Amino acid sequence: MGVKSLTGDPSAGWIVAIPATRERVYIDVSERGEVRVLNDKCRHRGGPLHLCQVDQEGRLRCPWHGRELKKPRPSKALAVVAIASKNIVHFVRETAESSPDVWPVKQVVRMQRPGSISPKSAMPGRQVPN
Amino acid sequence: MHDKTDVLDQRSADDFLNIELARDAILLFANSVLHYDFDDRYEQHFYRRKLRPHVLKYLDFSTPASVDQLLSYAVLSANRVLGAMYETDFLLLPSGPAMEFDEKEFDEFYAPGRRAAAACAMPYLEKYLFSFLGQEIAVGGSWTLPRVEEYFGHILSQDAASESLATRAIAASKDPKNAGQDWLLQLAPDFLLESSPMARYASGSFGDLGTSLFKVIIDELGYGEFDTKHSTLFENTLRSADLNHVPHHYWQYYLNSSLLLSNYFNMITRDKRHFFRYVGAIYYAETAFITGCRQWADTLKNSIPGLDVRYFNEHCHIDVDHSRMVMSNLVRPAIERYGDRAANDIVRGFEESRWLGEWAEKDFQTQIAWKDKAAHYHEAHDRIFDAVAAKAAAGEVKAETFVEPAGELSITHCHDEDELCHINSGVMEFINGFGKSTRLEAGKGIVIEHNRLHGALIESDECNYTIYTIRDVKQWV
Ligand code: FES
Ligand SMILES: [Fe+2]
Ligand SMILES: [Fe+2]
Ligand SMILES: [Fe+2]
Repeated sequence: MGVKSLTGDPSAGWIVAIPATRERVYIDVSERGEVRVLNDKCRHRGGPLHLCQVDQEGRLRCPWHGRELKKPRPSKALAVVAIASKNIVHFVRETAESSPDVWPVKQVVRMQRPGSISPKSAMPGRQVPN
Repeated sequence: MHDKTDVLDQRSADDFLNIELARDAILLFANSVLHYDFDDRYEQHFYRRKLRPHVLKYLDFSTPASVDQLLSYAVLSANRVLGAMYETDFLLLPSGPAMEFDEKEFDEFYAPGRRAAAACAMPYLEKYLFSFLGQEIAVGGSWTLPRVEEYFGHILSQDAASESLATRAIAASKDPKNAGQDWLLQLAPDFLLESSPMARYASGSFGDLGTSLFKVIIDELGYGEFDTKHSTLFENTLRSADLNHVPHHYWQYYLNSSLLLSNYFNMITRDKRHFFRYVGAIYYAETAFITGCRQWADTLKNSIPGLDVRYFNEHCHIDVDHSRMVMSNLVRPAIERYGDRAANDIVRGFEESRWLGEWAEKDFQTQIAWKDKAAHYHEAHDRIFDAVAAKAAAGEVKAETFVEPAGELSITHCHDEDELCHINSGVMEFINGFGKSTRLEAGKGIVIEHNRLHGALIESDECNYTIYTIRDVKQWV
């Protein structure tokens, strides 16, 4: 199947795993209608970047070994359409006729943005030391 | 050395997208005999379109409308003005035997000063009306031709299986004939000038894409036969439904959403940056029409005996070809040639025309329900009037009293909150919408639902009435 339609919380994020190409992709849609489709695998050892935490300086850090995520890498693995007032998101991939096209979609907590939480207001338990 | 990029030497304006300039342009455009209030229930003059221009200066179009403001009066007003402006691009001449050619109004309609004002105001009104689409519809990630085809196929097969809200509203109405006529009217702003927006892309130089689109235009125009031109077919449909076929005879009864949809197609054809959006939008329209026209025709035939449905039959037939032609000769080559930009915009246009079409049907459904509840709201007045009047006397409810002479027409409009209309003396014909009125005598009145199109015509020599802003009728019953 090439299209998956999900109704859900528009302020959430999603993770799509694509076993065929061993990709893992993070997607979210901002209130202003901007779509992010990012490679979720850390350059270092493939840590889950959507679980990045914001450190005291407002930098994103990978949960596995704490390396800074400077610039998330866009992924070309899929295309997205979201309709805000209907809370619906469509994820689109080409149908690969030769392979059983399995790519589960999972809703996750939205990935933080660098500097999105000021060091003072950040929850202490979620901070990663430098 | 003379600096050859030193060009500017401004005397009155630095920026032609300036909002003050655009506001002036709107007022200047609307300040015309073509747009002033006039006591015609339906347009009797070929070039006139009522804009309630005296109210325009109080409206603020500077902040784009959000989705939840789309049914507001300001949006209705902007839609009417923009619709009138777009049409100065098209040649309109009265063509029926009984229609008089008014030379003065013809010159006024296309007056250079009004056209210049329109050019300045249109981008501003478009921004006000259509910016919400960017937030409402998010398109992103990486679109390739196979993904676009996959997505379109998926959505279209879903939509083909779903029931049109308009046909549901007509079938469920207390007065299916009136509801059916009302739906034909809502299609009229687009269908009576069918393919005029499309023909904006008949000119220019853009390779074989232009030729491909022109092939569709030829069919829309009746391949050289006036009788088979799609707009002619629709005129016949209107005639067979006891309706007038002259463009915009029913101008006052176009719903906000119907105007928004037809303005959208004007916007994406007038502003050439939106060509790819147009390709997506027209692909959706041509394809959705194949099943949409079937559903509309079946329901309309039942509600309006003797209806000429050749317009709809023609589309069930020819749009199979048009859909295929647009996909293979426009969508595919555009994406192959112009890549991401084309693919993204094509998906966007597809979703936008789908969204706006559905929105128009939903708004129509609500309007039919509102007209059907005329008696209910007439009685609701009696139940809540004393309480409302008491609160008004205490200054807790806003009230405004009007005294109007016989024959005075309140051009159709809508309110952003629920209102209560109460007749102090005289008689008013309250117009609940197209073809539906409620006679209001002294001491009587009606609840006016927010966002619902309505008007009023004074029947007695004089009528004194009060409008109470009750905000939400549910609070009172
Ligand atoms: S996997 Fe991300 S820092 Fe090691
Ligand atoms: Fe047509
Ligand atoms: Fe067509
Ligand atoms: Fe009113």
